[in-house]
Amino acid sequence: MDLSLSPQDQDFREDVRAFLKTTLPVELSEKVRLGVSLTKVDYEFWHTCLNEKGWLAPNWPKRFGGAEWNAVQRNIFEEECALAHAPRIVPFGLSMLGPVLQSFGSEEQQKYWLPRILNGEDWWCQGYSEPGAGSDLAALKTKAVRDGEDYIVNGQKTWTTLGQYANKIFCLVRTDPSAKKQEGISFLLIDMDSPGIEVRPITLIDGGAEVNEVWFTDVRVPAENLVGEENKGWTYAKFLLTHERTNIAGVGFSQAGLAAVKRIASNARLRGRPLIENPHFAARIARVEMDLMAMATTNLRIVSKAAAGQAPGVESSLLKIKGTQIRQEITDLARRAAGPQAQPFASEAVDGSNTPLPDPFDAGAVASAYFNNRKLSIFGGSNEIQREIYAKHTLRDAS
Amino acid sequence: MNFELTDERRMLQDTLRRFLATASDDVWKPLAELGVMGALFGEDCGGFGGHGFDLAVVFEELGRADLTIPLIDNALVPGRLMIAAGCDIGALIEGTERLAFAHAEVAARYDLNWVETRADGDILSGEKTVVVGCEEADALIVSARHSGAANDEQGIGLWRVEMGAPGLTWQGYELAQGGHAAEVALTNTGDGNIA
Repeated sequence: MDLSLSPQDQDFREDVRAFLKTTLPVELSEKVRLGVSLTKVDYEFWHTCLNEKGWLAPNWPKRFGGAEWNAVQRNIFEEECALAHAPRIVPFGLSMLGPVLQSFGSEEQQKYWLPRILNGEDWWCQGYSEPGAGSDLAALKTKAVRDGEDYIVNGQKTWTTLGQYANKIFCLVRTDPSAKKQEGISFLLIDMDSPGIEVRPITLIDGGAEVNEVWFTDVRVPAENLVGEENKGWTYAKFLLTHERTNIAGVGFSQAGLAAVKRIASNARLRGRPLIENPHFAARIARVEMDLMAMATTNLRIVSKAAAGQAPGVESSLLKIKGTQIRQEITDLARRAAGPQAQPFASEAVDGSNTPLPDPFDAGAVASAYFNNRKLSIFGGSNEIQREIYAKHTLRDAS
Repeated sequence: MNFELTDERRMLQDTLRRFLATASDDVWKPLAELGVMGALFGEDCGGFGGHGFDLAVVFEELGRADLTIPLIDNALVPGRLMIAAGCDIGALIEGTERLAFAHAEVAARYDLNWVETRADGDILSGEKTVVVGCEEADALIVSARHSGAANDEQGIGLWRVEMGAPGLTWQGYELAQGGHAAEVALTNTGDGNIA
């Protein structure tokens, strides 16, 4: 298998680098590099920059306004964006809902909703997780009852990322309580301004509040906002999740994070010498660097097999497990490299306001990043669930 | 082995638990009046405790109440340092005085004997990092080197520096674990040597 990039791919990488160099403001990339939380305006600014370039939706077909890149190009783009410390593109509209509407939405829904995702009119959030369901997504209880031309929705969603900025939410709701749990679920598009919706922020251990609880009390949703067929929502949900897991390997994030570890460990001193010269610490860096190189190759192998516009199959579970383990090890090493200097913390660093904290090693909000990234092995389907998916697939093929 | 609390310790536990259930923000002096600071030190230093079980009772109750006050940094550590230096800690036990230990330096990492802050007689110059409880303290106990190289075990002395002392500046911030600390700079700061 030839995993080296073609001349066209290398040209593409140069184009991406040149674009990032000219378009991404240093003030914004510095916020990302140092782990300062981004404002709504920051996210919207970068969204608009990419949309104007036509690069906002790498995985969408051209007829819907996407770039329709192949998997290798998308991988290059994601790597370069991470290495340049570009803000992440909020994935809920572009990577999740977009592909669902393109595959299962009506023509009217596609015409109405897709352009609004691209031009930033709608900020989508994801109404999947529920407080009582744990990792068993299909155990969700939020119910929608048909009433004339509307559904009436009651229930609660949780861990709704950036829900405080969203004006729309796509939800999995139970429309047939008597059916088997996977078979009574529907996929609804809901306006966050609807009467009866309440968003409550959840303060996290990193000092920020990027996730929320969303409560629904007799919320009326027009029946035309049902995607696909009633009670077929589980099919669409699973389809969406395979898209959620694209770029789950996060190779670019890890490469940028590893560079940060080396920077901090070069600045920090241990008995008068750079910490990075300490054999024990250097060995931990070397180990995770080797893991990362191996995963980058595996990732390339998998993405080069995936067809244009498609998500990888069951291998995405493998990438999710390995990728998040590596990212968590890297944030752990960054925190360790900062040592006692990881303690200065808090709202200042997270909000990016007030006086800057002492940061002699140019480490940034390293404790916040460590705490925040504990989520990686839980979200997008916990690593335990991924192991089950992978094991089922592998054992089935073996028998 | 008997892990049952003595009657005195159980009394301290009950009193503390009842007090903390309704405690307001400014608890330092009320805690001292309840005997919390005294429980941290032995009778020969003016306290009535100082054993592991005394400390466990106090910190378990503070933890139960989710109270992040720098009792270790503003009382226990400076108190033990003062005792080692032969100084009186009466005001500390009464809660009328709070002290912070300005010892760590950026280059020290976890080496306790790495001190680059210099002492020229009783005149101190250098920078201290992550001084926990600095903002709440009346005075600092500052470690400084009067002889030797940065990582020598010998040649380190302790000085008491009032928070208002000329040449002392500090900048405070929050800590990841809760509470506050500060970066402290000393520029030709003179005060009394405690050891």
